[in-house]
Amino acid sequence: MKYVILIFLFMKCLSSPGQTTANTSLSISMPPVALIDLLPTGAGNVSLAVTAPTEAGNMIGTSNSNSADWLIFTSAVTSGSSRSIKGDVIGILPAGIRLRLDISPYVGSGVGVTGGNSYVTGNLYLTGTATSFIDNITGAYTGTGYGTSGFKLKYSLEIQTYANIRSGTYNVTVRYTMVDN
Amino acid sequence: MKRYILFCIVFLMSSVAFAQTISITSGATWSIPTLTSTITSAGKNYEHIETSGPSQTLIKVNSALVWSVSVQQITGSSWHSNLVVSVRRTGDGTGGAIMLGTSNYIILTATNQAFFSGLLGLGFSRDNVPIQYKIEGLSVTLPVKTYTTTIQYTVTGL
Repeated sequence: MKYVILIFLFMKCLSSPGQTTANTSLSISMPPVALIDLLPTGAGNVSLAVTAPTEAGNMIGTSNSNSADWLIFTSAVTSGSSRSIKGDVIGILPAGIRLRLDISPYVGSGVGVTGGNSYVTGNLYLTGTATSFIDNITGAYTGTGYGTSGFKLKYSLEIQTYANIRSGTYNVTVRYTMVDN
Repeated sequence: MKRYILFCIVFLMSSVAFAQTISITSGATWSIPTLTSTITSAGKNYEHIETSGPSQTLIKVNSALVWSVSVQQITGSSWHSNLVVSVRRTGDGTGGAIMLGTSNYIILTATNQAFFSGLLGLGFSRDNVPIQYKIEGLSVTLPVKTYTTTIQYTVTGL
C-alpha cells in the first residue's frame, strides 16, 4: 500500500511541471487632430499689383504673382473619414478681378499626402464662398520645413470683367479651414 | 527509514509543485485615455513614447525549484500592428527565490519570449515583481480609436 501511495505521488510530481498564465490589458486612445498653418508665417501679407499699361490701347498687366507661402497641416481621423482644406476670402475683392490660387503638388517627407490622399483639387479661384483646394485628407502630416515640406501657394490676379475694373487699393484676408467631409 | 525519507521528498516535491502559479497582484490594466504629449504645431507627427510607471504591474510567482516566466502579446482587431509594445522587469520584487534575467525592454510579439526566471522557489512565492511597459509607433496616420491588447505571462518550471 505504501508503494501505491508513493507511486501515486511520484506520478503526480512528474506530471506537475505545470504552466499557468496571467494577463494584463493595455489600452491607448488615439485622439482626432486637425491643425493647419501657413509658412513662413501664420499671417504673411501678400501684395499683388495690377500694372498700368505704358501705351494707350494696351490692357493692364496682371503678371504679378506671389509664391512665398506654404501650407502645412496635421490630421488624424477615424477610419473611413476624411477632411478637406477650404479657402475663402474675407472682404471685398476689386470688381472685375479674380484672385487665383495655384497650389503645387506636395513636396516633403510627410506621410499620408501622396497616392490619392491629400490631393490638390482643380479649383483655382478664391471667393467669398469656401472652396475645397485640398481634399481626401485622412491621417497625415506634411512636415514643417519652409520650402521643403508642404504645399506651395501661388497667388495671382486675373481679369474677369475688364469693364468693371476700377483703380484703388483693396485689402482682403484669405482664410484656410480644415473641415470634415 | 529510507522509504519514509523518500516518501517525504516525493510528497514535498509533489505538494510544492502543485503550487506553481503566476498572478497579477496589482496593475492588471494600463490605460492611456489621453496621450501624455500632444501635437502643438501643424505639420508634425507624434514624437514621444508612452511609458508606464516602473511598477505598473506587480507579478507574483509561486513555484518549486526552477521556473521561468515568458511573455507574449495577444492581439486582435482592436490593436494596430504599428503600435509596438515593450515590457521590462524593473526590479526583483520580494521573496526567497533567486531571480535571473535582465531588465532590458523586450519587444513583444505573438510568440512567447523568455522574460525572467528564478531558482529555488521551494514553494515560496516571488512577490511584487515590478513590470514596466512602453508603447512606440504613435502616429496621426493611425485611425482615431481606442486600441486594446492583452499581455500574457506564462510560468513554467519544475
